[in-house]
Amino acid sequence: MTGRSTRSGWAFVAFPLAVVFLFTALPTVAGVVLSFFVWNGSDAPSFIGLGNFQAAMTKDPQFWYALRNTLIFAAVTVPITTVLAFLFAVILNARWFVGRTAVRTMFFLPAVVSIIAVGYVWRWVLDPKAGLLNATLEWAHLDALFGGDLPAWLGDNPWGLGAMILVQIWRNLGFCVVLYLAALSQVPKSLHEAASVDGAGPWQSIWCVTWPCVRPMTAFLIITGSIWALQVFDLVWGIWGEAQMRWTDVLNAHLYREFTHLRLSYSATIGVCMLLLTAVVTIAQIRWMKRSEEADR
Amino acid sequence: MSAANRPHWLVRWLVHVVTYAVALTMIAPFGWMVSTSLKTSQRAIDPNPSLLPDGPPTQWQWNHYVEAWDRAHLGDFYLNSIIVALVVTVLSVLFCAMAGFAFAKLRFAGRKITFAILLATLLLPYQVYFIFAYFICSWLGYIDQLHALIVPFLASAFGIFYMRQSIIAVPDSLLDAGRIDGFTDFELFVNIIVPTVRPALAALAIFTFMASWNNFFWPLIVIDSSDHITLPLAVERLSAGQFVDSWPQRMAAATIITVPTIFVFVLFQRSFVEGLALTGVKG
Amino acid sequence: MRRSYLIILIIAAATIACLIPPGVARRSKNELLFTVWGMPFEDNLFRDGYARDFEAQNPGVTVQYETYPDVTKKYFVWHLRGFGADVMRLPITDYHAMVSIGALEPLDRFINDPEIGMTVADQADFMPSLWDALEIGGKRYAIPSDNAQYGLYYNKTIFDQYNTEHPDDPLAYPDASWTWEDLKKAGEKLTIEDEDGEIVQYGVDFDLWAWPFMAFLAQAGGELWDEDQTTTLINSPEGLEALQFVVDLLPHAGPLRSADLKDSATGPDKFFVTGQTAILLDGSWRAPFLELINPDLDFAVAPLPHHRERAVVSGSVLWAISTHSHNKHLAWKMVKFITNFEQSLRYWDALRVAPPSRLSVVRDEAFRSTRGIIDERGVVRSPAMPRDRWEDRGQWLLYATTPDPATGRMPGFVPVTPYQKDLEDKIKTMLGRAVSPDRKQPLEDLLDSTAAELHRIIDRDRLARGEPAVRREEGKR
Repeated sequence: MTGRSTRSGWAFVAFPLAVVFLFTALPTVAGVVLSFFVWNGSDAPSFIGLGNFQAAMTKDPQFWYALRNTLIFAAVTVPITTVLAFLFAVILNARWFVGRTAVRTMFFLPAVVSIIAVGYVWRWVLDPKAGLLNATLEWAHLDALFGGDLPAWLGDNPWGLGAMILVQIWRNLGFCVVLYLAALSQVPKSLHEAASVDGAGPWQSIWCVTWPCVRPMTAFLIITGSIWALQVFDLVWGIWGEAQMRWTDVLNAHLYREFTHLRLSYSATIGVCMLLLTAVVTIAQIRWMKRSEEADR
Repeated sequence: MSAANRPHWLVRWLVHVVTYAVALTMIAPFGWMVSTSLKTSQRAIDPNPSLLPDGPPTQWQWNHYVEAWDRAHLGDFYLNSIIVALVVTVLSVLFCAMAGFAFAKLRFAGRKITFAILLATLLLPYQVYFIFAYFICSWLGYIDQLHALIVPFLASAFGIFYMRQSIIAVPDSLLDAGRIDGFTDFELFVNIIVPTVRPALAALAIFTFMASWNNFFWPLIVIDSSDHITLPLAVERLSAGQFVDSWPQRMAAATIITVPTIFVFVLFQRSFVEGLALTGVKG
Repeated sequence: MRRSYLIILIIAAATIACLIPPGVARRSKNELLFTVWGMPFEDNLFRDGYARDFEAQNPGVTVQYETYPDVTKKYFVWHLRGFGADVMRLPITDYHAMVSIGALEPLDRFINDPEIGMTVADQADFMPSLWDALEIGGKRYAIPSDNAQYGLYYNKTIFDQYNTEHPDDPLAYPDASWTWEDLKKAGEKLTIEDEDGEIVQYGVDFDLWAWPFMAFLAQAGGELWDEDQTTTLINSPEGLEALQFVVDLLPHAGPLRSADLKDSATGPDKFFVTGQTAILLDGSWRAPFLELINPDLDFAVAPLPHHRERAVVSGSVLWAISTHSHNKHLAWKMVKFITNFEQSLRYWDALRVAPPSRLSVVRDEAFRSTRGIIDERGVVRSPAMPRDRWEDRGQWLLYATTPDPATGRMPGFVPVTPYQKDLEDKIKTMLGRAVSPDRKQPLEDLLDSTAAELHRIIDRDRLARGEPAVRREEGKR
């Protein structure tokens, strides 16, 4: 690494960073600043300091429901999706798997279908009376699991949160599988061959060679996956709609609902709360990953 | 995995069964969507639905696809969506790869803090800051033009982060070898990095295309004239108003606009072949 | 070396091409931006009808027509950037919010203008409760276009079948004389269950949103708000009556029905249109949809039942002018044009989703039949209503605007208040919880907690605007 790198390094990042800063970073700063003001859209914004935040904490019970739901949602979907994605990526990468291209495309489809169709289809699947899910459960005699009464997936109860988690995993699994597939393609064949020469079986090969090699991608998926899970919106809005329920509202939906009521600065406030939450989670994850990397050395 | 590493045939068989079962649940809702698009309007909304449309395939309502295409004027807006998605995909993947390379392998002043700020931009949901990006586009004169759909997406924090992670995995020894041969940084990028991380580039291309193609909210906000709208907005027009007059048509339209993304996926996923990386150098 | 420099050049050129904005032409003095929302076939009315006819009547004027799936959001972001349409179609639920952000131009100076304004008689032609409700702080910011009402749809085949099977206990078709008791009894009689206790035919059904509750509350004699419109009165004894009535009418709701299924795949209207429901409470906009999907469905519509009072909840769509419009004078001319008698009748004649708010149109003979819309291929987009269908499917609309002989007041009312949207959201959630079989809370507590949550939202909003907190009595929390 020569000293020349300093100049050309900036040459590589100048334009991309400029785009991101102009259209994302600057607006983000403006959004954070807005949360300390009240702006009705036509008069000048007026500064009220922490007034919006105080209102969110004390005068907004929906905020706390949404917060709880969002945390549970993220805590459950991210690990499950990441682990399952890795496993399926390894399977779909294996030479001996029949029909790789077809199955990969099938996995990828949920991510590609527009959210309008997703909302329509899943509302039907989850409908308590006429829906596919409950019909299947009944046909498989699994209704005993629920004490005889099939749950109202679209209703205001914890099963709704469970349905949300299910749909999220359905939608994102393919996405994560594709990212892992790309990462697996970069694992040098020589490493696997060396391992098998050393007498490693297929499972050991996966655990000791493949998994550590895709560590950067795992880190990426966990960090961005958590951010997206905490910011989940179009799935919830498309299926559970604008209904303000206790078990299926998430922070981003609550934020957007406030925006549809034209309460711009309050939705910025909720956004800043989400920012703080996401920052804490992300920093904790990065620290934990650094520590485990050092431990491996 | 070489032949000696193949798992037991029972394990292989089980893995196939489970994976195909999961894959079927992945496409089941999509199949439902297509099935609905081929039913009559009355059967489509029957609360006691059937799996397939009534009658043999010749009696299915294929006309919904033609009608959806006409009523939503999809032919007029296909070009807008294609131009935007192609330009964004090509340029964005390129710029994110360049920036990712710099963050991964080049040293420059303020690299760490700039990267931290970059990640920080992912933390605030876009529903809060989009309005300010809207103002900026307004000042730049991009409103109601395809520029507003292209320029803000020429690079993304997500893309840069992703490419950085992918390029970090490239062994430094490859780059050192290149430097010894007298390559400049850009030549290192073009001749060594790009071929090595081609699968990651393909993955990013797929997702960038998909995100741009399916983007609904931002075009809704920035495009005012109906000549400049993109396909998702055109499809949404089939259901505005007091009621949806034809669910099957809406599903047909939604199916139509999915086709290019699937095509792009099938095209690019050929890069996901194991062991494409340059071998022969101990990592 | 050469190749990489060439690549850099190409990339730079492509990028720069993306960055340069094209020039934008400004709107001229004689151009109007006319924005609506609607299905593609509604272009027939708004673009080919209103816009083109206005241009024909005003040579030299061009009307640029745009339709958006979500107009309110569009108007909002436009307003923030200092832009606005000239003639805007606006849902009444967003009226207060748009006024509070200063997006709508006050129309009083136009209405009272001696040359181009509206006479007092003309103003009185609009449904009075609606016209008055649009006044905020002494100013008026929009003209109502229509008046969509809540009605009682019933399946005549099911009634006939019941009467055939029970000749000694016949059920008359619903009409304006029905009381709450009549409706409840009819619902019980017309519900059919199979051996497993599953309902195969619903007696009474309706979607769980704010309208049923608001209608029943008014019929019980209750009020939604106090005079300041900052404290809600839904947790009054009348509110309890209304909520109890909702729960009584839908004994099997809850696990079998999720809230907020309007326009979704399995809403109550879907069961009605496939002939599985006897009585459906829904808005006037449902009728064309029913006819389009199932032309063989033999249904009719009756006014809502009454209790202590006669009341019909209704909604509306408005026409307004943006404060950022450059051609307000011309825009007003167009607003006046599209809300006059002929154009209002035309709206009904084409779409039939809601009767116009002009009383003279509703009382005219021409109101009793419509021609609908047929597109270029001959496909019916909006079904026509021939004259012989009027008694069954159109006559009920007169109920809301016909003064009740007992009180002299029209039963129709349109709730338009500053926090109406928040209230209706809360009512929706409350109804979902009320009909759920898992509910352990008594209904009074449910009403109290809903009112308390709403008050907290209102207080939060006032706090954010720097307005003083609302003083409320202890009991009302």
